[in-house]
Amino acid sequence: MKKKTLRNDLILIFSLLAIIIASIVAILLTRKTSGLTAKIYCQETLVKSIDLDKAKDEKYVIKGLHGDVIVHAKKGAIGVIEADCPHHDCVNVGYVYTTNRPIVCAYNAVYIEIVGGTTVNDIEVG
Amino acid sequence: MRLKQFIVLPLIIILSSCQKETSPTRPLFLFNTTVNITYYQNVNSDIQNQVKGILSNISALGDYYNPHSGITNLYNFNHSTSELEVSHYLYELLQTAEAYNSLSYLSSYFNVKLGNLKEAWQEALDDNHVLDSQSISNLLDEASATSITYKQEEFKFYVFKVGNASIDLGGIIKGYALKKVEEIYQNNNIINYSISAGSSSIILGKKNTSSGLFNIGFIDYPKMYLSLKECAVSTSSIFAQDKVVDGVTYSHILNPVTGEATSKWDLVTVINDDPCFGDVLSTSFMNMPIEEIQSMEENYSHSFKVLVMSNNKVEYASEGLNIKYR
Repeated sequence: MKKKTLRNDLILIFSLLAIIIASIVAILLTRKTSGLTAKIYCQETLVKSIDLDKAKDEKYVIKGLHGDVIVHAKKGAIGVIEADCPHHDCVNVGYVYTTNRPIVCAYNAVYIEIVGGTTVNDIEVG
Repeated sequence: MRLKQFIVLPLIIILSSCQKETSPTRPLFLFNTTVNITYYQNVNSDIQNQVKGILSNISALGDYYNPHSGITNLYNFNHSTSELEVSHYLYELLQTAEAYNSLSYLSSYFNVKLGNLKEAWQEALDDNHVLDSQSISNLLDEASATSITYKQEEFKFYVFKVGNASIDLGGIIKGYALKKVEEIYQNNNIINYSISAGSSSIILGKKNTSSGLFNIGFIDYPKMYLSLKECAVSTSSIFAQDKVVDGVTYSHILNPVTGEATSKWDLVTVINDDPCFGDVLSTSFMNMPIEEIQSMEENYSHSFKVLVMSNNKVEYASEGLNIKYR
């Protein structure tokens, strides 16, 4: 009787462990770890979301606060190639490939960030 | 009984590892950059709006480039030839900036009267050339000859600028605004938050993890990071708004002694409990020799920690600053 109870207990334990392990594996396999998406905001509103895995030399004209900001997306990267702003700091940033480097055109209130991938830091400074 | 423990314990561990994180708000466009606020606890909308309001108000008051309707701001102050009534914030901000300016340890390294010089450098660099030494000398003389007078009558505040130099509060305003926000959080017992104003001025509460620590990375040194909580993190670097002319990197940070747009160090990060003073220190340390930085640390009883980077390596790090690598 005792042996039978122990065997049932073991079956239950291993069944539960199998369910837990299968769930963790399923979560890890379905988690999107490599896909990078560029999000473009203008005056705090999300105006464009671009899947950088699928981007193929596409240009977007973003209507900024004072003028146009022309954004170029290519596979895995995004940059501002032209902007109606006085100092072109946004253009000078060049193309960004990682989540830790946003592009800001303060004059036009345009903000571009890359999200997704394996973000490891909470905040970036520099 | 043992079986129940065996089942329940792993479930508790799995469930407790799920953290509740409030999504960051959309970036706010303030201080000529973006401000990101993240709460890791429930914060009522009144307080959230109060924080946004104070940040927007101080950003508008300190706007160097544009006037704002309905308020007297820094632009109006710089373009006025007579006494102006200003808000308490702008009055206090100008006084605070000047007070740091006159601190003996910082007097050569922090100067808010270099607005015209900064504009001249910006114009020259936009045309891909370097500002000539005569112009630099003239604009430094102009800054030295300019002063601000303050007058307070009950609840009214007046300021008057004598001289032609323009006041630029870029090296202090974000830290000042974050200090005001910190006061709101303290008064309302809000402890789980982070705010980053650009990538240069940050305040941290505690994250909603057991350690409460945030990982703070460096845009231009991706392998390096710091684990921090309940502090202010202020960073100045040549990488922001930099421009290379004839192989030399020029940035928006001016050396107040030489008037050049080049800095001694590539990046300085200051960690302390006062975001306003932190901003002033990180700006000042960009051109300060390491011996003087160490001397300041001693004079301030090591109440702040400093990280100085140069040529892709750590030039100086305060004792106890735990730099991590991945």
